[in-house]
Amino acid sequence: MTGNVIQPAAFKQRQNNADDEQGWIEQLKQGKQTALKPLYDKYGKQVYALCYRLSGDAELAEDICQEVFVQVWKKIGNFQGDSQFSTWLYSVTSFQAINYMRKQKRWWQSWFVDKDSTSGEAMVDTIPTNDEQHDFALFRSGLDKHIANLPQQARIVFVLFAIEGWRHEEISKELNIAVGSSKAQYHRAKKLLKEALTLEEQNRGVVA
Amino acid sequence: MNYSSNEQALEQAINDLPKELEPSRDLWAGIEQAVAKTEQEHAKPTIYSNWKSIAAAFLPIAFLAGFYINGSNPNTDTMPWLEPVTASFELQKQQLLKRVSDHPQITNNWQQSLKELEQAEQSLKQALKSQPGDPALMKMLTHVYQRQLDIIAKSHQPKYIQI
Repeated sequence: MTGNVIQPAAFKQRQNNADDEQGWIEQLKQGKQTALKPLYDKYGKQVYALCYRLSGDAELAEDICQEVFVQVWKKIGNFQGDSQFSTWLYSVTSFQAINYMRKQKRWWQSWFVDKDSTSGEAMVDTIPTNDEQHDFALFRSGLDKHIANLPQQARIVFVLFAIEGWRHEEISKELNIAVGSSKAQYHRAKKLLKEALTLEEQNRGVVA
Repeated sequence: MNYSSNEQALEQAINDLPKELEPSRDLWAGIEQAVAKTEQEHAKPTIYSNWKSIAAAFLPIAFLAGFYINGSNPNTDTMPWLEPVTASFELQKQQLLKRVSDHPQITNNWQQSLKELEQAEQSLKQALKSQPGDPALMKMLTHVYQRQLDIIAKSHQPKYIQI
């Protein structure tokens, strides 16, 4: 009987992994740059996924991801072990991504665009065609392509609330918006994503 | 697709999101280079944290006292340039609003746009608090100020072209 019971070997492996991670963190705190590489190898792709979802831009996400690990090196002393390292890392990533995007022209442009100009149909229209996808190595599948096409504020609120599990109070504080605005942006994102998924489903039916 | 299946489809799509995504290029080389040039910050000692908590408890009183005595905004302490810039802009804005108050409005939603720009202004000031010398943020703040004046001016018809 195996089920969900953790077998001794698996348990030992998990324990070793945790010990390894603790060791890398300690070394990093002592100023050993080499200890950053195993942490990057372990978490780099997860951090990049979060950066990509928050920014909606593959190239920008790569820059942010690099900046996150530089910040981890710089601020590891602030990690006191009160939470899991991964929790601290995702929090650093979210703050870093928002700060990075704030410096982009697009962030401030998003304050001036017509808030109703985006529809689910428009979002589906922006998905690359098969020919375009052929050369577009970074094309994402599933929901990611629709999240990337959401208006900026709606996308950030949706990713932080629905994927990262932040509360609207935390989001409103970080984005300097009212709690009500955060909730409204979340509902707007949900509505647009549902429309995009429905249209995609219908288009698939027509093609089939 | 009805509402509940739509909701379920989205829920399912969120659950199916991959935990990891692969960047298109190797990011490690850039990180390694940057880290070699970056010094680590030392953790703040606990005693400082405690002192900070005590200070934080007195902050509202200090804030009110400072504001009352100096009549200035304490947030601008690290940005001495911000206060005169903001004051000059506010003066221009109020004068412009007064000037256009009896002119007919060309657009209906200019107040909403102005409100959004004011929110952008607050966000920029907030961002400037953590990065006081950031030239990009300072430039954007100037742009937001200019946009506010433009919106007020352009949303009202000048009297001389009225029929």
